[in-house]
Amino acid sequence: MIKLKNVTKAYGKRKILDNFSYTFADSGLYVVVGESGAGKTTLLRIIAGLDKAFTGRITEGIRVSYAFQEHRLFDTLSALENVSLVSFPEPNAKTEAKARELLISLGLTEEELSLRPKELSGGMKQRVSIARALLREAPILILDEPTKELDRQNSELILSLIEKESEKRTVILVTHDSRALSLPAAKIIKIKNLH
Amino acid sequence: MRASTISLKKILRIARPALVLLFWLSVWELLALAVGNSYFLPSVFETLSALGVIIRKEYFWGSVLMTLLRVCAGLVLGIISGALLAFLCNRFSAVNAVVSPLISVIKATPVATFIVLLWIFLSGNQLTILIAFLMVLPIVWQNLSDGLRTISRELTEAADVFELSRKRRIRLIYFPTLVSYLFPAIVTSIGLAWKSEVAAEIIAYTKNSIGQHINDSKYFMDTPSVFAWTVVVVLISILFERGARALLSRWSK
Repeated sequence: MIKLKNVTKAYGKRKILDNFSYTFADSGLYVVVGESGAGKTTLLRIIAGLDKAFTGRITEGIRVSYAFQEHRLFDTLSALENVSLVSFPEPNAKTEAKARELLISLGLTEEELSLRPKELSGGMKQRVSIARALLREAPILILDEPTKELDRQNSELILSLIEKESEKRTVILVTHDSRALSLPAAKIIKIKNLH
Repeated sequence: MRASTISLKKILRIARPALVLLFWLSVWELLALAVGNSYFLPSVFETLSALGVIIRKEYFWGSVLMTLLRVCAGLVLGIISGALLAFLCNRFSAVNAVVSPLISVIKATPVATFIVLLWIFLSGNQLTILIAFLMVLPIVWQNLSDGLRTISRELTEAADVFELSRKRRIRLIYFPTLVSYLFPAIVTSIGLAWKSEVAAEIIAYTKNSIGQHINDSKYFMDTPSVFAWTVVVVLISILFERGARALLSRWSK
């Protein structure tokens, strides 16, 4: 369970979150919605511990997994290596096999697994980034716009995987994809634009 | 017709460096003929003949080796210190505040001033190593400092989230970024270290060095030998730089 209490975040004088409180259960799908610039990504960053410049309280020390909106893949690694690097402390054969299986299930071909990020399309990079987040064993899975660069078929595949994942752990999803809102398991969190 | 054009192009491409060299040697030779005094400007043949003589001297290889070792010592010290200081300056702003002005002073001070000042306190060996070090340090420091400023915050955050070890962070984030800043710095440093090393050897009259022999040749008004030693300096510098380039590019792959 992760709790946020009276979280306030501002960039200079511009408030993004104002006394935001919420409790996330140990499992479930939480879909964060709001206008652009309302603070959705900021909220995710605070939960992930990447942004510590805020007031209020949050449950600390919880490991998270994160599929970033900008993918953030490592240029010198192949698609497969980028996914299997989440195994701790070093990549092992078991994780690599899981990573391979996951990437194939997300529609990448065997040849594409050995390509580096520069050689992948936007949609492929997005699927690699999602696979990396899915593979990491952490109680909280954060996904920022995971279907942004995907076609309809791949978007639906990802959303169904996310929904399945939310049965085992807390999944926090930021999206503008209306299909995510209609998922039966989805709990909607609306972030108001303060400006 | 097409095949012959291609083969001609290929021949020209291969022959071009030799033709360029031949052109400049001809210019040199013509100038030497015009001057007509080998004390002021020896001809190509006089220089090559002097080169033949100095290569056969028993001290030749020892002097070249000692100069080379001192350049390497200065280079290694400069690279390690420059890298360490760049990391410390990037990590601690107080260190940066103290070190930055010092580096600016080192960069702005003429190499001859350093040689004259340090000659009072140091032996020939120490002096020349220190001079090479002082030439390399600011270049490595500056390039790595610039490189460290461009380290992707997005990737370091991803590394935080995925709890990557320090070793993997260095391999995946720091190394790929810094290599493109460090390697040009090393290549530039080699040329500069080599030149300043020989300059320091000449002024400080360092024993067992190329500089010592250039100084001797000048003292005995043997200009062809000065030119011959200079040819040696230039050739070794080019070989050294090319070797380093090849090694670094292989290593970076």
